[in-house]
Order: sequence, then structure tokens, then C-alpha cells
Amino acid sequence: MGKRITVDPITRIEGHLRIDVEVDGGKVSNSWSSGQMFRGIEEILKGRDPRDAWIFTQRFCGVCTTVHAIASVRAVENALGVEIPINAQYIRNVIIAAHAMHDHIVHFYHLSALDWVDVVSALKADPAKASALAESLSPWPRNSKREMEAVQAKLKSFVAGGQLGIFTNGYWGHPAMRLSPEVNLLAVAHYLQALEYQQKANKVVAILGSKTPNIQNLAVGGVANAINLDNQAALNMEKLYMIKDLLDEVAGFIQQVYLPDVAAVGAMYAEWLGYGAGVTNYLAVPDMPLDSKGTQFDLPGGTIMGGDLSTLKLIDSFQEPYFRDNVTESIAHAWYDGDWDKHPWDEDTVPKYTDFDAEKKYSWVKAPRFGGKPMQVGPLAQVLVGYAAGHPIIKKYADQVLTTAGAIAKAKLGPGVLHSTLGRHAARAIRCATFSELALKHWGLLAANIGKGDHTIFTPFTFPAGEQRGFGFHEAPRGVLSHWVVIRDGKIANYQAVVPSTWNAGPRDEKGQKGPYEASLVGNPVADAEKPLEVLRTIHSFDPCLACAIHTVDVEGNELSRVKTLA
Amino acid sequence: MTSAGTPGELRLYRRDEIVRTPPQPRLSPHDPGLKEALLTTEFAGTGPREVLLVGVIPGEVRTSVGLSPAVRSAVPAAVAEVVRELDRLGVPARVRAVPLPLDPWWERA
Repeated sequence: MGKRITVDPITRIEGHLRIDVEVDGGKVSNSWSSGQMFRGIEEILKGRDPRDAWIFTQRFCGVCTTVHAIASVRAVENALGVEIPINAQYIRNVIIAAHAMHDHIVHFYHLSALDWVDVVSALKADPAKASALAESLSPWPRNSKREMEAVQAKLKSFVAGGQLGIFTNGYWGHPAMRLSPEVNLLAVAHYLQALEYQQKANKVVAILGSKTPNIQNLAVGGVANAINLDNQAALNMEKLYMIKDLLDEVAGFIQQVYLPDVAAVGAMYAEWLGYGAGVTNYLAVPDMPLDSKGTQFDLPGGTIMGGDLSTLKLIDSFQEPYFRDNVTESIAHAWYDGDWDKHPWDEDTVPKYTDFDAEKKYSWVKAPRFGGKPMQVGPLAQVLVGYAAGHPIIKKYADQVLTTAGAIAKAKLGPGVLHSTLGRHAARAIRCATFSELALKHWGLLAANIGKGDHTIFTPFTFPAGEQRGFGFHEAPRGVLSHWVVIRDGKIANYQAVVPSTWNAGPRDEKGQKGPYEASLVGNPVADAEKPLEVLRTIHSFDPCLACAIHTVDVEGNELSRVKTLA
Repeated sequence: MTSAGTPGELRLYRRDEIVRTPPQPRLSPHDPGLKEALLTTEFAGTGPREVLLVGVIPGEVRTSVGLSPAVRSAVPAAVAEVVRELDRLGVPARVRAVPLPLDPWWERA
């Protein structure tokens, strides 16, 4: 056995995600992914009114609140057979698109770019060269020499003041860092600009959702956005155009900055197109519905098995039995009472904590399976499904990223390279660019439908006696999210959420099959076991998101390193 | 607030003390905390000019609703520190003739 490395966020109570790897001969030989926090909201929901569930489920998380609201109302609507007005569908879709764009931008620039970008090196850059490089890749107007000089001056003043501020948390000078000073400077400039554009995307969520995080405008049966073009307090032309202006600005940033940046980073770290594939069974669900029933969608869903795009099987309705009948969760290695493998409608959530034991139980996260197989979810799954299905927008942006990256790397890159650590970043940018078009399309559909005089936003319904079962899915920023509800006489009898990070971060199942995080780490290089930057790169590429904990601040103690290496 | 001391004791920190130790690599969007928020806004040029962190040493830290008795009884003293700081900054708080009772939502029936 080689060295055992544990990466564990020790500064938060309860903790989130703990990764253990064994390193042998400079490569990861085995790995375990452990969720360190119990989520008990499902238990709280039992006995409550199904119309209230979405308010509670949004509190699963402080980052992806919207997604749990959407999946929850869809699950209850599915159980009761409620079709929502088309205005409600479009309003939800614009929120979905805006939330996804905000989330993808933040993830790339603010949470993972520093795994690839060496900020200190940007001090040595020639701003004129950085600007010339950027302008050769993109027509973005904020890549001028002056802009680059201003960012570099700001960085210099921080360093002169004896600190690097927010950038002190990177592994600077690590042997695995290899961008030129100019590319590093460009990345820092775009890091700052990205702060502005993620905020603009999130503003759209707030305008339609009344606030964000935790939107307030949903209802089982539709939305609560009153539409009245003659009323200041309702959704009117002024608000619609406020939304459109924001979406236009965000689309510019995504298409002209985010997409070329990802292509450039991908090209300069081309060897990372060969690491981190892991589980190559992919699952995505369709989203951005175009009708009241949910039978036509602007984003495709389906499965791909064993990395072979020809195995594509589409999921194309909110009622899809292929999805409904194939999802199970295993608790063989999770801290719950029992040892079962069950369909979400039949599950329970009874905690039974027994210390971290890699051979037995070692995570709060259950292990979801599709037809008994582990599946990778997330933007890569949706992009591959879209690519295989010939989705025109996804294909356009995927080919654009692959061509740009190929030109820089002087290599021919096909969609096969997407099964990798960097492929997940590329796919997220491709999906984000796809959303930048779809957000505006659905805004246009909403405006046109309102223009026809249709102001309907809600479909009334009643709860029948007896039992109904429903499921609602949503392709969230981190992938397939599904909520499962059993209603008995108008009350919730059972509720389960199978969330994207559960699919990806889940532990082994009863057959010992690794989850996607675990499988993706095996074979990763690790140059320096004390600074396992490469492990962070692959884990970050999934955009991990395990639910919130209270933050305790430790000002006096030196924060212990969260990386523990055991010989 | 992690600090040597008895639960319920106050700890006050200024900006430089909060950012003295560098932030650590993070795994998830939930990880960034106060320090990261402060440093990010500073780099973006929108950081606050004045920072005072009024903290309380916790009685217990676990999954539950509400405050431990030690922290609950420290609330008036923490509020007084905030009022003192506002005074110092030249924006004195107006004090109610009859203070309202402490009424956290999670303690309501």
C-alpha cells in the first residue's frame, strides 16, 4: 500500500466532502468519497402538505436552492397529473437558465480556475501580449492592453501590501502549473469580470423569483408571477426588458470570454484530457420544456453507456418510464440503517452512524444506480447526450471549443477527449453557452405569448383521496436531480430527493462498484503528496456541492491544513 | 467563533486579524466563508472600509435548531458591542425607551 492522503474540510462543523486516496508510484491507486453530513429534510416532510414541499426542499442547500424548488413542484404535479400554463413553464425556464449560467460562471472562474492559473506568474506578464493573445481568440471589448495593465497594477499593489488576498489559497509555483504569464494575467482579468456577470445572471433569478437564493414565486400548478402590462407591481414590459438586457450581457460574456478561456486552458493542459474519465455511463434528463405537459424540450436527456455515443437512449417526457423504473439507491456503504437497494418511492432515511470504515460504511451519501449501474451526471452527460442526438446548439458550441482548443494545442480533438477532467470543464462551458441562447429564446416565447393576451399562470387542482406517486426531474447545474413523492389523502407519505452530487459523490454499492468521483481519481498523477493539486483538479471538475453547514470562524488558531498525508 | 475561553464569551476582531492566516483550498461552493468573502470584495474593489466581527464562543456545535444557553445569554452583550461600534463611527443607534424582548423565530410556538 502506498501513501494515504485525506482531503477533508476541517474548518466547518459537520463537514461536507471528504476524499481519501492511496498514492502509489506518483499515481492514485485507490479512492473513497465520503459525504460528511446528514440531510434529514425528507423526514421533516412526512405528513406535510405537498404544496409546501418545495419551500422546505430549497433548504437542502444554500447554493442550488432554485433547483430543489423546481424538482419538487414538478414531482407533485406529476403525482396529481397537473399540467401547468405555458407562461409558467417559460418563467420557470428563464429562471432555470439564468441560475445555471450564474452557477457555471462562478464554478469555473471563482472555484476551480485557480487549480490551473498561477496568479503570481501574472505579475511577470506583458500586458500588450496578453491583450493581443486575447483579441486573437475573441471579439470581447474588455481585453484591451489598458484593461490588462489595470489588472496587473491591482495585483502588484496587493503583493506590495504583503499579501495576495483571495488568491493566497492556491498552490502557486506547483510543478503542475504551466500557463504562460500572459494567459495567467488574462485569467485574473476575467476572474474579476466574471464576478460582475455571474451577478447579472443571478439578478434575473431575483427579478422573477422575488429573491435569490430561495426563490418565492413557484406554486404547485404554476407560478405566482402576476402578469399585467399596466401594473407597476406585476410582471410588465419594463421588467421583461430589464431581464432581456441582463441576459444579453451575460450571453456576451459566456460566448466571448468563458468559452474561449476554457478552450485555451484545455489546450495548454492537454494531458488532462487523458485523466479523470472514471465512470463513462452517463445520465441526463431533458429540460426547458416547450409545452404544458412536458413532452417537448429544448435540452435533451438520455443515457449513454460505456462511453459509446451510439448507445444513446433518449428520455423524452416528464412521464418517462425508462427513468421512473430504473433509479435505485444502495446504502451498502452509507451510514443508514440496513443494507438495502431500493426504489426512491420505497426508501427511508434512518441514520445509523458508525465511524469511517473504508471496508464497510463510510459516507452519508447513498449510492444511486440506474438499472444497477453507476452513472456520471452533470454538464458532460448532457453535452454528450446532445452531441449524440445531433442537438444543433450543443453541437455548434462543442465543435467550436474542440476546434479552438485543437488549434492552440496543434492537435485534432474529437468529442472523445471530453471523457476527462478537463472535458467536464469544457462541457460546462458548452452547456452554459447553450443556455445563453435558450434563455433568450424562452424570454422571447414568454414575451410573445403574453403579447397574445394570455396572462394565465396557474392551473387549479384538487387532491384526490387515496395514494398517488409522482416524480419530478430537473437537469440542474450539477446534473440530474429527481424528487420522488408519495401522497396519501393529500399529505406527504414519503419523499426522497436523489441529487446530482449523490450520483457523482456516492460511495461504492453492494457490488463494490465505485461511484464517479472515486473511479475518476484512480490513475490520476500526484506530483507532491503534501500538495495533491491534481486530486483537487479532478474533484473540482465535477463541481462538487454537498449541503451547507454552519461556518465557524477560527481567527486565532492557524487553520490546520486540510490535507493529511499518512505514510 | 473558535477561541480558548468559556462558552458565551465575546471575541471582537478587526479586518487584519480575520485575514491574517491565508484561506485554504476549497472543494465546494459551500466552503468559502467570511474570510473569502472579505478578500474577494477587496480584490474587486468593493470591500468594506470598516470591519468589526462580533463573535461568541459556542456552547455546543451540532445539528439542531436554536442557540445554546450560554450563547443566548450573550446576545445583549453582543448587541451592545455593535451599538458601541456604531457610536464610534458617528452613527449612534437610537435606543428604545422600553427594549423589546428577545424574540427569535425558532423559539415561537
